Amino acid sequence: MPRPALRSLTPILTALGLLAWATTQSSSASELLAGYQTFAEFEQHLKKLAKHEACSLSTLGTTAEGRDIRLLTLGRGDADSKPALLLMGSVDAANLTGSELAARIAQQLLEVDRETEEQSPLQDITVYIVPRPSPDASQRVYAEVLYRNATNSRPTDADRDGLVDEDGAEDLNGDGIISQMRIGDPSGAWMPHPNDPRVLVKAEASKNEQGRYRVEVEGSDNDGDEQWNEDGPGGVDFNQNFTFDYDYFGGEAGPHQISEAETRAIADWAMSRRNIFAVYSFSPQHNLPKPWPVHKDEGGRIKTKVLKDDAAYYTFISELYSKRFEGKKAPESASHAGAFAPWSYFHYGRWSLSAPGWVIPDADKPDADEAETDESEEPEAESPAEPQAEETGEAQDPDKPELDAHDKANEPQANDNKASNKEASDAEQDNRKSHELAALDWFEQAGIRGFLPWQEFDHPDFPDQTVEIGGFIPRAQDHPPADKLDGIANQHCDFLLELLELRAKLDISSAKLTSLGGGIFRLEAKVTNLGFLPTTSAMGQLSRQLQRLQLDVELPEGGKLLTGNLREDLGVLAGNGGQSETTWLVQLPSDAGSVKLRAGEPSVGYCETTLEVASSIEAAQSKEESSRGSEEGTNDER
Amino acid sequence: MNAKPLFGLLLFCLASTALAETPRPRYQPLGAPADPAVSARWNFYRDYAQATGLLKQIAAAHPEICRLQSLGKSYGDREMWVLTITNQTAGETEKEATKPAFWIDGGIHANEIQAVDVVLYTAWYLTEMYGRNQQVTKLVDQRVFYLMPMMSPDSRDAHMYAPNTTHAPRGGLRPVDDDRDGKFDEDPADDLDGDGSITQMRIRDPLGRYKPHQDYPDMLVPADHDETGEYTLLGAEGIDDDGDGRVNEDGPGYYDPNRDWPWQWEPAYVQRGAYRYPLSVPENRMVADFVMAHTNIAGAQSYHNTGGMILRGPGAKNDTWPRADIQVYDRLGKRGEQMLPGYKYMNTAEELYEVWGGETDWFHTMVGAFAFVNELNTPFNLFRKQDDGGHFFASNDDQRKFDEWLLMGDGFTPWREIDHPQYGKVEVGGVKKNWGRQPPSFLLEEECHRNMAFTLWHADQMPLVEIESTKVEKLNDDLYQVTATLMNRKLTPTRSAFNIQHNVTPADRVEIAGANNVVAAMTSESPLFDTPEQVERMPHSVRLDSIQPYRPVYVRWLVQGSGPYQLKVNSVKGGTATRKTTEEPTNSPSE
Repeated sequence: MPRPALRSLTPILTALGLLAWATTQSSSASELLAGYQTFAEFEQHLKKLAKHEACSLSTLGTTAEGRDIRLLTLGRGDADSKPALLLMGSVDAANLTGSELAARIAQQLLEVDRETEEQSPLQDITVYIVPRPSPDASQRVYAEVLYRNATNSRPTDADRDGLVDEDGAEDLNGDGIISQMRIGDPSGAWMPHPNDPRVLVKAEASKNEQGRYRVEVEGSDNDGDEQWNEDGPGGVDFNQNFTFDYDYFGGEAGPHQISEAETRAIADWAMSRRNIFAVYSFSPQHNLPKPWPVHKDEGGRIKTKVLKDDAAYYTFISELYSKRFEGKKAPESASHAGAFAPWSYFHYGRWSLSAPGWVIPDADKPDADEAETDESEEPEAESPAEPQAEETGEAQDPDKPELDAHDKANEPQANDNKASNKEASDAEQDNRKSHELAALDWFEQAGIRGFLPWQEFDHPDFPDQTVEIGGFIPRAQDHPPADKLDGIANQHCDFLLELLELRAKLDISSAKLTSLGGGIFRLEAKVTNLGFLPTTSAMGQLSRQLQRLQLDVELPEGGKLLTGNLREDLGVLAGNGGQSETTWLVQLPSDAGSVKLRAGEPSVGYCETTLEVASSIEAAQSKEESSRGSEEGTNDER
Repeated sequence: MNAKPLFGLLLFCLASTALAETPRPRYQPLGAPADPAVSARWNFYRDYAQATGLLKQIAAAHPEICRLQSLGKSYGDREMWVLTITNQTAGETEKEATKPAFWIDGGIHANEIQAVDVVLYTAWYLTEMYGRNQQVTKLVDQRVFYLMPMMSPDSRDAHMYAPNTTHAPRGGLRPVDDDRDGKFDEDPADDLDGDGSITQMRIRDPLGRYKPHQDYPDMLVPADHDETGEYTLLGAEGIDDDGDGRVNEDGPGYYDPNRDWPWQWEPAYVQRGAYRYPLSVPENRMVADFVMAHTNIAGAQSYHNTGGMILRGPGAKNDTWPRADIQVYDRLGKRGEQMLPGYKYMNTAEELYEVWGGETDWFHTMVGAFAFVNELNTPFNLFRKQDDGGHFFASNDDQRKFDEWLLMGDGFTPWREIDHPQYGKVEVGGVKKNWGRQPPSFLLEEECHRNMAFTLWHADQMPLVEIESTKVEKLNDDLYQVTATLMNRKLTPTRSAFNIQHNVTPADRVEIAGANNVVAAMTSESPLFDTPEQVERMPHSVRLDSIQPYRPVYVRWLVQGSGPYQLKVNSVKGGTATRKTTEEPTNSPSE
């Protein structure tokens, strides 16, 4: 689809006081988030978007700390009655890339709308955007001391010892960053990476390796239980609080599923919007770089993998995505436990498409455009000028939901292994932690401080051991330099527009009313799906979350059905030509006006046609008159 | 509505006056008192307003042990009443949060109506017998009872006042598009003959497949394979309100509030009736928030009907609970079978059907409370014999006999011809909504009392920690050995094995104070301390996984300072116990 040129958002951000902000932030947060919008600026940005006539801003609920959970609705006319896509920004709340991209995509879609006017995609479909589903948690990224935590601030007994938030992490060396401690210990599980001693890997018996370190999050054992920082302030992770594969008793999973104001507000709202057919989210549980695993068989009563019948559609979409975001190797998709994107498919019953916002370029194959990018040049204008600007690298924390807060935090550099796919372990020789090695190279190339060299620290909890503090700066691998955001958003926006074109498209391909004599008619209709996607996924059909696809008949005064029903269930129409055929016997008075047919459901949209009774009778008469049979007596819609 | 509290107060005054002026009857029946402070009959079903009135009367008549509160309003603007019963006199209220508590609820499936009356009876009996009966008094002093008689108050009234079968409404009344056609609750059953019940429709049809029963001609039975019948059955009373060709396919609701709880929750495609997500039914959410805020809840009972069952979890076959927990259930449930003739103690998943997201499973796992569901009303009660082949309900034969012989035919609406807008002339008749799942008046009181007795016994078997004895020995000039013996003389451990596995609630703690320095601590299962376990951290506050039924735990401290020492056991589910050592230290026999 042709796209108009896009303007950069940078001038707007500057106008919003970006520079002033940068100087007032703590050094670590400001370094990481230089050029990212502050909370207040982000709110302003959303309000500004809502001034566009095809955009409105509303509030789905309020968090425990009183922040609004914002919804942007992009659409023309009665937006809630059109097929819709839901775009979710920072599903991983501490990854602000998701929300920055979501707001930019909104901006870009509105520009497309302005340029294309009557042809605007927003004429037929609605795009809902929740840029920051868990604003309290996202806000914590701006804290004075930088930490990787993605939880809200609900007081929690994460280690279930009866005390709440009693052992948080500390910035022991005062560098404004909670990083990691490696403690010299011959029985420790970790050792330096053979290729780069800065990175730690687990010692493996199959390689006759010996561990040299144990690893903890930077801090002290405040409650004397010989666990370090296992129950810090907060909280519940939005992206571990959903119902699918929920991690009962998990440290950041909440007291039960959908326990938080933000998860509840979004689930309640989404489940009452039966017009949403797909969800596009930025999350570590991505399936666009590589589709989620598929059930080989029917998969038992409780489905835990993608249903066979849906696999081809996910594969095709994933290939489209990979073409656009060529050559960018994303880390393995993260554990599904309680996560939003898998919920969207398995429980919410929608097509769920999830992307890492940004992926660090592979060390071996530095991205050509990346290398050429001149930092001084604004990603001005044409999207083709920056097609692969920044899709490489690392946008999330794949191992996160698999571990409890403590273990997770202790996982050195939390990066490439530990995916939901257990086979993809770090066992392959020195491909272990390849994303971290790549990240180190990229940090160097790009002149970004993303790693803290290990430095000795005199730690009172470990009087007889060598303790070094250092490691990857939390969240540095999630956040691209701010000047890349426009370009990345551009790519996602283009892909989204392509995606919207793949939706199911209904057509009443033929409709006939044939007079059989004596006031009796045969009514026939064929409904066809001209789109690529089926009218609902197999999981959507199974989950019963969506309305049925129906064909409604409206008879004129005095009309009566002899067979069939006023509302016929059409089942699911496959993509690319799936069809259903329905016939009724109808009794109609000779002076009746017309019969109306309307096919559809909210997530697919509707099409309708009208058949004149009089013309059917005429056709029948002319058929009688001429000895040849006539196929007419039909009016086709369109 | 304004007159209600006044009315309650008036009744209370009358009752008090009656108590003061009329002498107690010389002869009291065993069971419930003949001269209660709140007079109540137990042979009818109270609607929401009547139940509310009774709760207010009880609370007003027994302020020293009762507290009535509402957790909020239901969808239909009714109060979600919780009656707390425990000793609330001065000095006791402060201890409330540390007393083991028992949760009792009824009527989450509102059509299962006697469930509510059993809870109301329990409230009435406990308050009336407090001070009269030693066991009840002790129970109310030691424990806290949280009683929620009506988990689904809207649907209770709907069952009583809207036309229904005995099976409806099971769920709540928030509109749901059951047939997913875009219209909500548009095709309910219709009471065509206006008798208040949804019965059956039939037409006379010489080629039909049903014929009258030879002894009870109102009842239809299938014709034999080699004969024609006299009737065709047309299903439940109703019309196709929305013209979609289906009759009664989208009535009020439907979501099942007892498939709405967080443990092993699965969506509706797996578990029919599941709503949006766990606790997405707001009435349940109020209850769960209350229960989670009262971590001392150590036991729970939920009343349902029908069939005469004492059910334990787990509800899902892929869910397994530790064997030790099942053994506790077995001990409790087997006694229940004896107390409730005709009732069978069984496991939901293996012996009944699978339930994902059931309330009592949540109690066991995520609350840490041993919990039963009683399916009230056993067909055994019809003729005091095991019914053959009726399963949850009695066999058709027994039902009809009972109806004819004991109910004088009141359970059945006779067939009557009416004009059906779509079918023409049809006959409507059949079993009324107040027959099938609920006992008739004269069996209700017994049902209430026996079930309550089982539940009170279960409540009595909640854990209760005791410091059985202490011993202080002097080891040398400034080193003393303090040994405490801890007991739990109840059938339930202080923490279930599941609780211990998942650390659902914090571990028990035994603390010592009054020493200058606590040098070390150890625990043992044997009085000889032959294989003691060292306490590695915080010896002044010894962590115990649990105190098991009738299994003493021995805790020993080595301390400096001659005491006296104050010992305290804190158990979230098992209460607290304190003891001060008074004895003079003895010299250690060893060394």
